[in-house]
Amino acid sequence: MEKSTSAAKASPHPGEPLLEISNLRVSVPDAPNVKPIIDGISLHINAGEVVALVGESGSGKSMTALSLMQLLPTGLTTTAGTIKFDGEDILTMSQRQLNHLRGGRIAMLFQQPQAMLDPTSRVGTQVAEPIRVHRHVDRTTARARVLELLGEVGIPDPGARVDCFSYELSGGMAQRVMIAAALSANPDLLIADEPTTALDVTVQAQILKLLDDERRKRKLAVLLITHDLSIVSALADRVAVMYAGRIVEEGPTQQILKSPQHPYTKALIQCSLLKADSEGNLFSIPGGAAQARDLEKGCRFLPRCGTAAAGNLHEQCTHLEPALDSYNDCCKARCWAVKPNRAHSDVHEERRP
Amino acid sequence: MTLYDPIERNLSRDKGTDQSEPFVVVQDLVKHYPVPGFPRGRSVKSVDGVSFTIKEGEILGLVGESGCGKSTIARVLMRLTPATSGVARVDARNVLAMKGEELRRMRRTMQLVFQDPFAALDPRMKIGESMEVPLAQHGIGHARERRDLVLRMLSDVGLDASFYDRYPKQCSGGQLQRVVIGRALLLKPWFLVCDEPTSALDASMRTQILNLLTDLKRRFSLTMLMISHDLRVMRYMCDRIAVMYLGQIVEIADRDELFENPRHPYTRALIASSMLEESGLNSSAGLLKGEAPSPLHPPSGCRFHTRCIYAREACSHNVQEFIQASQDHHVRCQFWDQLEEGATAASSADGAGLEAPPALRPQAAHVAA
Repeated sequence: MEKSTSAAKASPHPGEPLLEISNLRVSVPDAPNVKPIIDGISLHINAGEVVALVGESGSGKSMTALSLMQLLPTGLTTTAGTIKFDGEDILTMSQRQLNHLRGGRIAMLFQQPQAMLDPTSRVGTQVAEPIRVHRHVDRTTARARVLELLGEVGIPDPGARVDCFSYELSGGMAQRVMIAAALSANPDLLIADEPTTALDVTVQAQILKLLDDERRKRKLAVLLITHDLSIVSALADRVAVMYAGRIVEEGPTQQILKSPQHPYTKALIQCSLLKADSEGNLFSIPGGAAQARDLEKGCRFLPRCGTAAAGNLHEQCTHLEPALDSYNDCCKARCWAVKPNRAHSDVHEERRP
Repeated sequence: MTLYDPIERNLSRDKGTDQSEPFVVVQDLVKHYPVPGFPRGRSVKSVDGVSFTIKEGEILGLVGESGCGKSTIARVLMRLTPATSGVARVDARNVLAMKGEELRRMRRTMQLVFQDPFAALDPRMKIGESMEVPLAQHGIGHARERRDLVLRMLSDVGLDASFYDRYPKQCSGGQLQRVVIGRALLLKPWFLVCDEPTSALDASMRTQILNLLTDLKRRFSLTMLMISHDLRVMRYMCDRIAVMYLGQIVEIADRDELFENPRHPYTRALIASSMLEESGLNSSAGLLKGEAPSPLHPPSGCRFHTRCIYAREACSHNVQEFIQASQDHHVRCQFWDQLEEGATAASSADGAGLEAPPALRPQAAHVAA
């Protein structure tokens, strides 16, 4: 199929599924002893919806994002699963088809905007690139469009900034430029990988507000990757919590943040509150997530689980990993202590040896 | 003249050094970095007349955006970079005037924890070796004793002995931050400066490190200066908080007073942006205009007037003095008592245009200036 025509194809309407990841696995084929980085995650994003992916560093959030763009670092490959974007499987696409997708229908924002902008080319050229490549417009039209976009993302005096280089911009400005570049080709899906982690809190609030305004205006679907739950609560419609390469809880943001069921989600929320207990100590999750993938059997969160430590250990916790079962009709959790909707789940996953 | 030996400090204090003076006193500290290529004294005014005190056993927090001069203050206090002018007394000794052996001994008592633990450790040295260096530098113990001290410190910061032989790349960020904190404490300092100790860490690691710092502060009876841009961390850790903007302190108060009655418009904006959950996206983004100006050309009058939503005409030419708003609460804004109450709580920006004539109202509430 010729993809240049697909740009003109009608995008899914808000509420219809735009992206469906099912059973995605990312591993290191050259190192058979290394457990998969992403181990069978399934997630869908509807058109116009903001889905947040949260978790500690090393949980596989960024790798999920990169596999959507097929930009995984060398050595890592997707070894199982499908990623359906608007009905087509990204994993079986040719490079040519992928290039139409990248920057055209799926755009990405990175954590360090200054590192991602090319220091040798002018800001205007970089913002214009997606329009020139994907929408085939001439230089003059592109430049006019770039000036318009830079104004929209809140860059004062776009006429002067358009010929700047990235090193002449502050971090907040550079992220605005990145947003302008990402939005320039009118994508359907924006992947924002920790878009404000490198920025000051004051600038962070401004950038998040800008992202929120733009996605509402353009009915853009966003996959927001972050470890900051306050950002999640401000922006996301739905949230998926990742731990050690798996999704452990998923559901509508308000529901999950108000009444989390999985002990890990509870712990993350506790941590981010920074409220001291009666002895003046902050709640913290003991240990680190480093070895969680290497557990041979049982729940991956067990060594750090407060529920298990409090003696509410379920018999299965040590030898069988729970499945991602739905509860309360809208949420899913991967925990033996959470009562599922049905006695038997239709998804049965067990740990492979 | 006999050299000041910090180890004899308690003795010397008893002998009659002024005990009424706070442990750390900084007065009119100025640090200007000259700009190469501008011969006639053009300079980046990184720190421009900062004064504060820290009582013994207290934690003072220093907050502000990047580029406001927080880290420069830390570097100047630690004598990692010379000050342009000003006085910094620690334990009643002018640190900025020390030299030679006296300075070397003084360094033992003042330690700095850096923001990025990966950058603060030599990647080619084992963690144990890195931690022993300061001990060797100050001639403490022989090799065997130093090793024991390091191992004991490793367990104090919650790491096991196997870390002694590891390289930095084999550890996570949280573990390395523990190592760096342990290394700073090995010399048993009294004054610890932490420059963004948790900003490179995850939320779960952050609470672990903050707990560790609180615990160690108690055990080693430390006096601390915490630098951060995260007010949530500050609220938990600090006794008093100073808010910096473009090289100057714009507000300083006790922690609870600062969060309950923030007086400076910049403090209000900072609090609202840090407390996204409580204040919501709209109100927090609307409390500041534009971007921080360059410290190369600070704005005339009140340095904050270019971004202040309450700015009046007078603000652009009146240089703001430090005004006492209440006891132990100082603010650098001449209109501090005329700002709308509770602007941080919610939606002040939304209500602009109605109500309350005597109070100053936001002039332009939009970010996209």
